[in-house]
This record gives sequence, C-alpha cells and structure tokens, in this order.
Amino acid sequence: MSIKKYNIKCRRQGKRDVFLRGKHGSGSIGRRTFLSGAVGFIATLLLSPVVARTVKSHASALTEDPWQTLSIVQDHLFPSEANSPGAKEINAISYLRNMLADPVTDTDEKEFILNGVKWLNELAVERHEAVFMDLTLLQQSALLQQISKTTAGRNWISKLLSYLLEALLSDPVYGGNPDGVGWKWLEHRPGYPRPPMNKRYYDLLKI
Amino acid sequence: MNTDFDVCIVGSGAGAGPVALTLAEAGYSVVVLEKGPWFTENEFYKDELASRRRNVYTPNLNDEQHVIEEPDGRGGWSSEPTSVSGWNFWRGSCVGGSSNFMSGFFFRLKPEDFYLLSTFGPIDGANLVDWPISYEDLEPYYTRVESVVGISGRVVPHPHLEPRSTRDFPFPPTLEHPFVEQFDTACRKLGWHPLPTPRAILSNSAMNRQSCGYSGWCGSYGCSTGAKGSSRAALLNPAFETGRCEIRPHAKVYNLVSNTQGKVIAAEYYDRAGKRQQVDAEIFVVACQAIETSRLLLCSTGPRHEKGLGNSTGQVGKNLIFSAGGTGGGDIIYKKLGRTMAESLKFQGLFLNRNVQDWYFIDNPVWGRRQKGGTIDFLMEHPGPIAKAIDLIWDDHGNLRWGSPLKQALKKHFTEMREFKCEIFCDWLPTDNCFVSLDTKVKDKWGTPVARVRVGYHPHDIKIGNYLAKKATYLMRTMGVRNVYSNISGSPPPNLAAGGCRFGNDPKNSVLDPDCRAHDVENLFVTDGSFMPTGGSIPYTWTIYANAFRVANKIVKQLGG
Ligand SMILES: Cc1cc2nc3c(=O)[nH]c(=O)nc-3n(C[C@H](O)[C@H](O)[C@H](O)COP(=O)(O)OP(=O)(O)OC[C@H]3O[C@@H](n4cnc5c(N)ncnc54)[C@H](O)[C@@H]3O)c2cc1C
Ligand code: SF4
Repeated sequence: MSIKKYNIKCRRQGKRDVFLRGKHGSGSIGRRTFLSGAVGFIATLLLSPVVARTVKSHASALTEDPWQTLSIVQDHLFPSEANSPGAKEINAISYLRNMLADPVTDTDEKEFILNGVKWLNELAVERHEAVFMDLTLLQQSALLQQISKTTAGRNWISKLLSYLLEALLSDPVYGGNPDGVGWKWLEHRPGYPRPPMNKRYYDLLKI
Repeated sequence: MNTDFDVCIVGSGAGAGPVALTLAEAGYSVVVLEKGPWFTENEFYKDELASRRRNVYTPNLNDEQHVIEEPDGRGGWSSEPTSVSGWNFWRGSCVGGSSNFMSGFFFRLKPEDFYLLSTFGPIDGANLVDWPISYEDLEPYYTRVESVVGISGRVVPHPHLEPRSTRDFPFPPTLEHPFVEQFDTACRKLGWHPLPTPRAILSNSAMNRQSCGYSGWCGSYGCSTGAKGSSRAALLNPAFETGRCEIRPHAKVYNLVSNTQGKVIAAEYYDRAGKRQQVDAEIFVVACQAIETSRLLLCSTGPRHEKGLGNSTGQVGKNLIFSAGGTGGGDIIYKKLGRTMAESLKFQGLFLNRNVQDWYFIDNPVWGRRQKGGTIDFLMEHPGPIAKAIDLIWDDHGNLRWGSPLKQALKKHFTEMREFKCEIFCDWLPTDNCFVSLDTKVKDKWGTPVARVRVGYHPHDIKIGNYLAKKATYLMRTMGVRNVYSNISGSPPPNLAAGGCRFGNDPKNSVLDPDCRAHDVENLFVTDGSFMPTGGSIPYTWTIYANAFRVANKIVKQLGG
C-alpha cells in the first residue's frame, strides 16, 4: 500500500474546496473537539493514591519551563541527521514560542500545547517517578509512542508536528527555516514576491 | 432627489466591480461598502502562513461564523457552528472579495445551460427551472469581460464549443508548461479534445496592469502584478480613478432600511470602530456572495417587508447551489521522465491550463435519455509546501509518523514526484435541502444573526460526478500518472456558491426579475451569483462578471441614463 493511499482516505473524508488542495484547519475532526477532547494522557491518574502523591511531590517541576520539555519532544519528532536539518537547525523552538506568543493564535490552542507538557510529565511520573526531561532517550521515545495511541496524545503530537513543518518550510521572516535550510533540503523554490519583515501576516491584520 | 450617492453597492467582489465601473463611467456617483480591509498589490505576498494557515483574508470564526447543517446519515440533519468545526465558509473578505484569491480558470455557460429543464426534462426532487434569459442575451457581456477584465486564451473548435461573437480571445494564452505535451498526446490517443483553459490572467501588460509573473502560486494567493483579473485590480481601481466611485473598507452592512412605500432608503453599517453609520442612495445593489446576500436580505425587515427584502413569497435563501463534482489526482514520478522535464516540474511556474469538455453532455445508453455532464479541469499541484508536508504526517495505516520515517517521506515526496490534479465540475441540482436561513441563536460580534446553511445535495450529482471521474482517472493512467485517485462527494466547496435569490418571471418561485431587480423592491438589485437558478458545469465567475455588466446597463437605464 502506498503512502498516498492514506492521504487518499483523508482526502475522501475531507471537506472539498476546489482550487484549494487539502483542507484548512485540523481536518475532519472538529477543531474544538480536537483541542479539548482530553483531560490528560492517562485516565488512571485520579484513581491511584500512590500516583497522586508522587505527582504532588513533583508539582512544581510539572508545570515549570515547558520550553525545555517541548524542545526535547521536538528533537524526537524531528531529529537532526547527517544530511538533513532537524528541529535545532530549523529554530523550531523559538518558532513555536513566537507563534504561541502571537495574539492571532487561539488561546485554546496555546493552552492545549502547554497542557500537553503537563500531561506528559504526569505520565512520566506515573511510569518512572521522574519528569519527562529526566528520562533516558529510550524511555522518552517509548512514552511518546504510548501517548500517540490516545486521541489526546495523537492530537497533541500532530499539533507539534504542524508547527515543526511550518518552521521547516515557512518563510525565514517568521524565525524558522534560517537561510532557507528547509527549502534547500527539499529542493523547494519559494514563490515571489516573498513577505518582507514589515508585512508579516500579523502586520496585514492591521490594515 | 437628495441622496448621498446615486448608487450604493454592498460588497466589492466579482458581482460588485462591473456595476461600480459601469455606473461611475456613466457619470453617476457610487459608494462601495466592503466589510473587509483594502489591500493593494503591495500587500500580496507568497506567504503560506498568511494565505492558508492563519487565514488573514477571512474573519476570525469566533467573531463571524456560519452554522452548517449536514445530512446526519439517518435521514435527518445535524448542525454545527463553524467556530466549533473549523470549516471556514468565508473565502475572501476584503476589497475585491474572493476574486483576489481565485485561480481564474474561466468558462462560459453553454446555450443549453439556460434551459436545463426544457432540454433535459425534470429530475425528481430537483427544483429545475429555465432561465428567463438566453445565452444570446448574455453573450455580448461575456465578450465584454474578455477585454475589460482581461481573459487570455485560444479558441479551439470542439463539439460543445459555445457560440462566440468574436473569433478569438483579446489576449493570447498564458505560457504553458512543457508537460502539457504529454497531456495533449494522451488525449488525442483516446480521441478526446484537449482544450486550453481560458484564464482571467493578463498574458501581456495592459490597462495599467502588468503581465503575469508566473510564480505558480495563483489560487488562494493575492496577485502582486495586477495580472489576475480580480474585481479590485480590473474594475474597482479604474472605477475609483474616475473620481466618482468611493470605496469604504471596514464597512459591515447589517441592515437595509426600507420606507412605508417599500423602497430601500439607506444602508446601515458598522465602521472599523464598531460605530453605526449610514448612507442613502437612489439605488442599492447587494453583492455579498451567495450566502451573505441572502442573510442581509433576510435581516433587512421593514414596514412593507416583514419577512425581509425580496422575501414576500418566502424565496430568499432558497435553492442555494454550489459546484458539484470533486477532485482527483496522482503522482508524476520524476524517474520516468527525462532530467530536463523532471527539473522543470520541480520548479513549475508555468501553467498546465487544460480541460476536457467531451462529456459536457452525455449520451450513455444505460441512462436512456441524454444527460447533462460536466467539465474536467487539469492542473499541477499547488506549490505551497507546508500543506503538502503536513499531509505526510499520517502513514499508510492512519498512524502518526514522526522522526526519521517522516523525514524520509518528506524527502521522497518533495524530490521524486509531483502531484497531477484534476477538478470535476458538474451541476449542483437545486433542491429543498440546500438553503440559507437565519440562525435563531448564534450571532456575529455585532449581534446580528448569522447565516444557517443547509447543504444537502441531490444523488444525481454524485452519479454524474463519478461518471466524469472515471474518464479523468482513465486519462491520467494513460498518461502514466501513478497512484491515481478520485474523490467525488456531496460536500460543498464554499468558494463556489451561487443561488439563493434566483431570477425568473414568476415572483412565486423567484426573488429577482429578469433584470435582477427584486420583484417587490423597485430600487434593489442583486448582482453576485445569487441570481443563478442553475449553475452550469463550470466555475461561475465569468458568468457573474458578465451578468453584473448586463444588470449595470439596466441600472443606468433606471437612473435615466
Ligand atoms: C481559492 C479560490 C479559487 C477560485 N478559483 C476560481 C476559478 O478558477 N474560477 C472561477 O470562476 N472562480 C473561482 N473562484 C470563485 C470566485 O472567487 C467567486 O466566484 C467570486 O469571487 C464570487 O464573487 P462574489 O461577488 O459573489 O463574492 P466575493 O468575490 O467573495 O465578494 C463578496 C464581498 O462581499 C463582502 N461582504 C459580505 N457581506 C458583507 C456585508 N454585510 N457588508 C459589506 N460587505 C460584505 C465580502 O467581504 C466580500 O469581499 C475561486 C475562489 C477561491 C476562494
Ligand atoms: S502574477 Fe500570475 S501567477 Fe502570480 S498571482 Fe498574478 S496571475 Fe497568478
């Protein structure tokens, strides 16, 4: 079965807009359901007093500095490799930071991304009594695999992937894709004219 | 009379431009009220974040949305506000409207499209009617659009070519991608007619607009050269230059006030600061795009129009139509091509510009009588890389893919192949299950009820769509395209909407008279695609432009010109 096959399935389910390939937004599942369908990556959390206690003792670590955790997750999702740029080379973390700071981005989307860090840490504590960033690479990778089996986890990872691919392929004026490193890797030539510094999309909203 | 303006136009897209230009040139004073901002060529960039991912040209759905009713699969309807579903029904809210972002594939209707009912007979469950005007009535205006808006193309004789009063297009075709050879060869092998697709794009500089720059990023993106025949570049700019046409951006019209005689006397709008403003005029023209036009008329109640303007027989919003059909495509694998061709496909900026109309009418013995078919348009995948990359985060089995496997998939899809696409257009039969009403609960940020849109379709549309899809996929396979697929569905494309205020001779089943004036309001005209009782098997914009020029002449007459 080809890679296309699944895309075909997506397209079949997708809303149609002739002349516009693909679809806007987060696809066939409702946007709001997508963001708020979850209270966490584990359902057992509240049932277990032991876990509740462990989580409590890590309480501050769970919510502090989401950026370091996000950056580690990004390295898993888009690793640097010998012949191709990874999250680091495309400035993915500062790109994500900028986008979440942008008032145009929906607040529920921002919350969802930050909540995901908390949920990931809750799960890490439940499984390994340590927050995500203190786990070994293998443990981290296994946890990501595990949450990708849940709806909330899948949605969270796919959101992070969307921002990563934006950082890879959007115009460098937005802070990702420095010197067009992503474009070069994928032999993509940008369209002209390209957006200048003072005409980024948030500037257009002021017109 | 003492009004601020002779004519007040609400909306500034394809339905508005021809009226503004014609009236201003005839010496009348015109005001255009547009709810969105006024971008110029200096603000249009090939920025995928702006155009496709953050949707800066359409309103925030939390501020302004629609409620969409879809079949629930059990014979009923389920409704969802678009702020929840994320399914955006806006397509361009700014001066020039969505015509700024169109691809400009331009087609004329055919004479039979004006008489669908009498040519092909009734279809159960479809509200088919003939148009009150004929192709001959519209033909001079189709021709006018070719030179005023600027359409490039080349006439090629074929069995379903519509009659023309001029021999060929005033502008030669836009430059074509060498890959078109492969397409033409495959078509001829099958005995089909490969037709060059006319484009609302200037192939050389004219009328103070530059020629196309062949960026390859046309659809969904504003044009920075002025080559694209948007209402803004081709019609509103010259109208403005006459000095008699004022354009007010950030003017959201929420009500048309009518007096005790039933005449419209003022348009009320919110300005950028949210303050209520109003203008009066002799004649009012509504061109807000199908859904919003019906919504505004339904919202505008008055002493003689308790159910809304034009709605004395309850027809406003009824018989909304879209373009039926779907899309298809497959992969062109570079390895199977020569190096030069592969390189040229990677950096494609030239157009493919081909369509097939061999099945605009279908004589299929299995179906008995002759049927109305449609158009298949062929094109290259849009070069926007982010959307394409995000498609690849799902693997064959619908699982998320990340890490090295994702990177390998990206590399392969970007550097070893390119997608070839087709778009299938057939009639969206008007039915009682596709209409606009006002939502009783959901309001926009100004407190006005939003449009509630039921988007049911007729199964016949799917039958025809699938017939055409089979032809399209057959052709793509003949060309050597791999992983060919097609996708015909009853899901409406929000960028191709029409109907809702159809024109006709009988007020009982139409809103507008043959001049597109409301049957029951002597100074109210509708000039966007709302007037169309049936839509033909093509995208609508050339027809919207042509009809708006036709109606503009009627308005000039009514003003005594
Ligand atoms: C990506 C894309 C590709 C397309 N490609 C093609 C193509 O190849 N060929 C083709 O024929 N067609 C194409 N179209 C369709 C084409 O753009 C439309 O048919 C055409 O623009 C419709 O004209 P309109 O006047 O009805 O609406 P619009 O052009 O959308 O204009 C309506 C305007 O009214 C304004 N408005 C709405 N409500 C109010 C209000 N209450 N007060 C004030 N202003 C208001 C809106 O903001 C908008 O600017 C495409 C569209 C899109 C989006
Ligand atoms: S320059 Fe040509 S390709 Fe680019 S947007 Fe304008 S018409 Fe389309």
